[in-house]
Amino acid sequence: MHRIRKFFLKQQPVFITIIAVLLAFVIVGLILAATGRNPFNAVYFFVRGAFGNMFNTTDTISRVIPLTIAGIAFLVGAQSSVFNVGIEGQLLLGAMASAVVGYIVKLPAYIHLPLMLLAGALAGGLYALIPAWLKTKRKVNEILSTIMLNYPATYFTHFLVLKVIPIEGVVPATPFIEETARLPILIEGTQLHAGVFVMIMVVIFAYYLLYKTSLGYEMRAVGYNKTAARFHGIPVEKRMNFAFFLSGMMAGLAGAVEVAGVHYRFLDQFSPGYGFDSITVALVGLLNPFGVVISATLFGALKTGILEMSVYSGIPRQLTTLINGIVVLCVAAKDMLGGWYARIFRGKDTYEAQKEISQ
Amino acid sequence: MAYILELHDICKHFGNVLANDHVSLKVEKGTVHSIVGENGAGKTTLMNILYGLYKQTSGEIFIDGTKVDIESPSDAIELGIGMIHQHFKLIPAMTVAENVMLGEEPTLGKVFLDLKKINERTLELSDKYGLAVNPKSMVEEISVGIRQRVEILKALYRNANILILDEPTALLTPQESEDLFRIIERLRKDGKTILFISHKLKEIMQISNNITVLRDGKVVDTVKKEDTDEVHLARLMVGRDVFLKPAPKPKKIGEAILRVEHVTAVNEYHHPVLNDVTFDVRSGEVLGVAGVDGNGQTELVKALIGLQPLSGGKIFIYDQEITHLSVKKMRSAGIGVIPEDRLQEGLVEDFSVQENLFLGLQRSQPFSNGTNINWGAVRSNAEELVKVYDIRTPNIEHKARLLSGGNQQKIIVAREIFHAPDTIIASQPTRGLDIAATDFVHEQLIKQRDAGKGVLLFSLSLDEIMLLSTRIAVIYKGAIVAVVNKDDVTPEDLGLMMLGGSYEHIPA
Repeated sequence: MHRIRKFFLKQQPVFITIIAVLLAFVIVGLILAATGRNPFNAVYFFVRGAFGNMFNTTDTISRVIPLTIAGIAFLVGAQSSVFNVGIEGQLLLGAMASAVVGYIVKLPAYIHLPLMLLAGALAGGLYALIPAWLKTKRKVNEILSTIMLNYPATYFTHFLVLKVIPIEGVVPATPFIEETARLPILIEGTQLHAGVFVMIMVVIFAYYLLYKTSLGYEMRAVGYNKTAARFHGIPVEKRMNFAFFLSGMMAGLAGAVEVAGVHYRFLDQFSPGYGFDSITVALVGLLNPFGVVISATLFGALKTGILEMSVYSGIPRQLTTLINGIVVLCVAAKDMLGGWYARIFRGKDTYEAQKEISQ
Repeated sequence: MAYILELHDICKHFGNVLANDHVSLKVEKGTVHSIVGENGAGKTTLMNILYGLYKQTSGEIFIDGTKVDIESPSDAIELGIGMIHQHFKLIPAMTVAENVMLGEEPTLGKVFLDLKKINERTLELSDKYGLAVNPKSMVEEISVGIRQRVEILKALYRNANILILDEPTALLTPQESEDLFRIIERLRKDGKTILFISHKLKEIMQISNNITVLRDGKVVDTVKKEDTDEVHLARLMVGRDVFLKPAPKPKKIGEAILRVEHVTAVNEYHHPVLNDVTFDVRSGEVLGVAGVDGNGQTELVKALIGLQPLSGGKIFIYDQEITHLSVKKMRSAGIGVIPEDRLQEGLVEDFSVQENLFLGLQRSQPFSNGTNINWGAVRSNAEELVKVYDIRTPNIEHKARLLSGGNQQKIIVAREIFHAPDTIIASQPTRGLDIAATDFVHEQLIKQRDAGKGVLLFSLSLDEIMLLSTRIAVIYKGAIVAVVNKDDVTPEDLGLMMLGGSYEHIPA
C-alpha cells in the first residue's frame, strides 16, 4: 500500500494531467446530456471517427504529425525558458519556403526532398531569430514579440499566394511541388505519409539533445535557473538564441512536412492553428518529448473524432470548439486538482508528504 | 519551583520517521530556556506541536500545572503562547501598528478603526519593553531586525507569557542580534518565559538560563548554563567532538596563485563598487576577507569568476592573465567557487543530485566527450561524492530542491572541491548550516589549503574568519584597507577596521 501511494505521489503530474483530460470529457458529456443528446452515443461516434477504421486512423495520424513536431518546437524552447508563442507564423513561413523550393527546384528525390524540408526548417528558424535578438539583446519579452510576429508571417504568405505567385487553380495557393519533393504515401488510398518517420526522428532528436548531450544539459540549466547557469560558465544568451532558432526550425519543419506530405503546395490558410495548438500539446505532454506524442495523439483524435461525431450524432460542429476549449481549461486548471489529489494519496500535512517522498 | 510549561513524553511520527521521541521538558517561569540541536533534531517540530501547528502522536502538555489540549494556534494564543517564526508573517503594505493589531483591532463603533488607539497601544507596549519601534512606519520600509520586534509585539499584544523564538538570529546582523538579546533579557525580567531555538552555541551561552539539547528527536540532556560550556554543548548536540577550534597552522605557504592588481569596478549607476583592490592568495593559505555586508564582497567574488565587468586592473592565476575572460575560461583557468546564495547561484534546484554534481563540468572529461554526456560517469561521480561527503539523499536522481540546506551546500562543496581547481573562493560557505555541517565545510577547506591550494574565504562571521584564516584582508567601501596576519590581530581590531577605523598601528 505504502509503495502504491509513493508511486502515485511521485507520478503526480502525469496522473493529474490524465485526470484533467478525463474530467474535461465528463464535463462535455454533461453538456451534451443537458442539451438532450446521448453522451455515450457521442463517445461512440467520436472514437469511431478517430480510430474506427483504417481511413479514420490514418487521418488522425496525419494530424498527429504536425501537432507533434510543432509541440516539440514549443518544448525545446520552453526547456530553455524561451516561450515561443510564434510557432504558427514560423510554421507558415516554413511551409511557404519549402513549397517554393518544392516547385521551383528540379532535383532527384533523394536530394530534393531533404532540401525542401531543410528550406522550411531554416525559414522558421531564421524568423525566430528576430524575437531571439529582441529578447537577448533588447530584453523584449518573447511572449509578446513572438505572438505579434505571427501576423506579418500570416499576411506575408497570404500576400505571396495572392499577388506574387501566379495562381493556377481557383484557390490561392502556390503551384504543386514536384513529385521529387513529396513525402510518399505509406498506405495506398489513405492519408498516411512518410512524415510520420520525420516526426519520430524529431521526437528522438529532441530527447537525445536535451537529455544526452552537454548542450541539452546546458539548455535545461538555463531553463531552470539562469543565475546558476551563468555562475557555472554557461553562456546563457547564446543558449537562449539557439533555443529560439531550434524552436523556429522545428516549427518550420512542421509546416514543410504538411506541404510535402498532405497538400503538395502552399495552400492559403492550410493550418487549422497547429502552431497555437502546439503550446497546449507541449504543456499537456508535460514538456516531455514522448509525452508530446501522447498528447498530440489526443488532440489529433479530437480533430478527426469530433468531425464524425457532428455528422452522425447531430451535434453542431460549433460544439467542437467548445470541447477543445474545455480540455484546455481543465488541463490549465490542473494545479487546482493537485490539492485534492494530494489529500487522497498523502497524509494530513504537506511536511509529512515531503518527508515521505524523501524516504 | 513552579514550572510554567511541562512536556511529558511527547512523540511525533511522520510516516515512518520519529521526529520527536518521548521528549520531556520542564520550563521554569521567568527564564530563558534554550532548545538546541542540529538541523533535523526535532526542535522546530516540538515547537510547532506546542503552538498547535502539529498534533503530537502521543504525550501530554501541562501549562501552569494544568493539562492542556492544543489543537490550533488560536488555542495556543489563548493559553498565552506566542511564536515568532523564522520567516515573518507581516503585511508589508501596512504600518507596524496595524500589523500588531491585525485581527483584534480596537474600533470606533465596530465599523471604523480606532487608529489613534492602535498607535497608542503599540507605542505603549514598545516602550514598556524597550523595543524602540515606530508604530506608524510601514513594514516594508523597516529592517529585518525591526520586523522581528513587530512580531514580538504581536505576541505581547495577545498577552503571550511564553514566547517561542525559532532561530531568531538567523537573519540578523550581529548588532541586531545584540539588540534582540537585550530585549529578551528585559522580557524575562518582566516575568515572561522565553523558549529560544537555536544551534548557535555562542548566543545560547550568552542568554540562556537552562538549555535542553535534542539529538535525533530525543532529549540528550537538560543543563543549567553555569554547568556547561560551548564545547560540552557541541559534543552533546553532535554526539562526538567537533572541529570548531582554530585550524592548525598551515604547513607550507608557497607562491601566490591568485593575484589581484588594482582592480576597479563600477555598478550600473556608475558608483564605484571596487576601488583599487590589490591582494594575492598564496598556495597553502586561507585568506579571509572580513567586512561588513555590502562593502564590495559580492562584486569582488563576481569579478574573480568573470561576472563583474571591470573598469581597471588585472587578475592573474600564476602568470596567466585572466582579466576580462568569460566565466567558463576563468573557471577552467583554475578558479572554483562556493557562491554566497546557494539556491540561486550554486544549484539548479530542479536538477537531480547527480545533475547538480557536475554542473559547470558538463563539457569536461570524464562527464562528456565535448558533445555527449557520459551518464555512467555522472552516476559513478554522484555515487562517490554522495558517499564521501555524506550527502543525505534517498537517491542520486532526487531533486536538489527537496534536500535540506545543509545537504544542498554539501553538493556545492563536494562539486567545487572534488574537481579541485587551484583556487577556491568560498563565499559565506556555512551560512545557515548547523554545527556538524559547518564543521564539515571547514574541514574540507583546510584540507584543500593543506593540499597546497589557495583558499579565499568571504565571511560575515568574524569567528569564522578568525578560525580559518592564515591572513586576513579587511574590505571597506570597496577597497582592501588592510591585509594582516591572523596572529597579529584581535577580533576587536578587525571590527574597528571593518567600520573604517584606523589601522596604522597594526603590523601588516
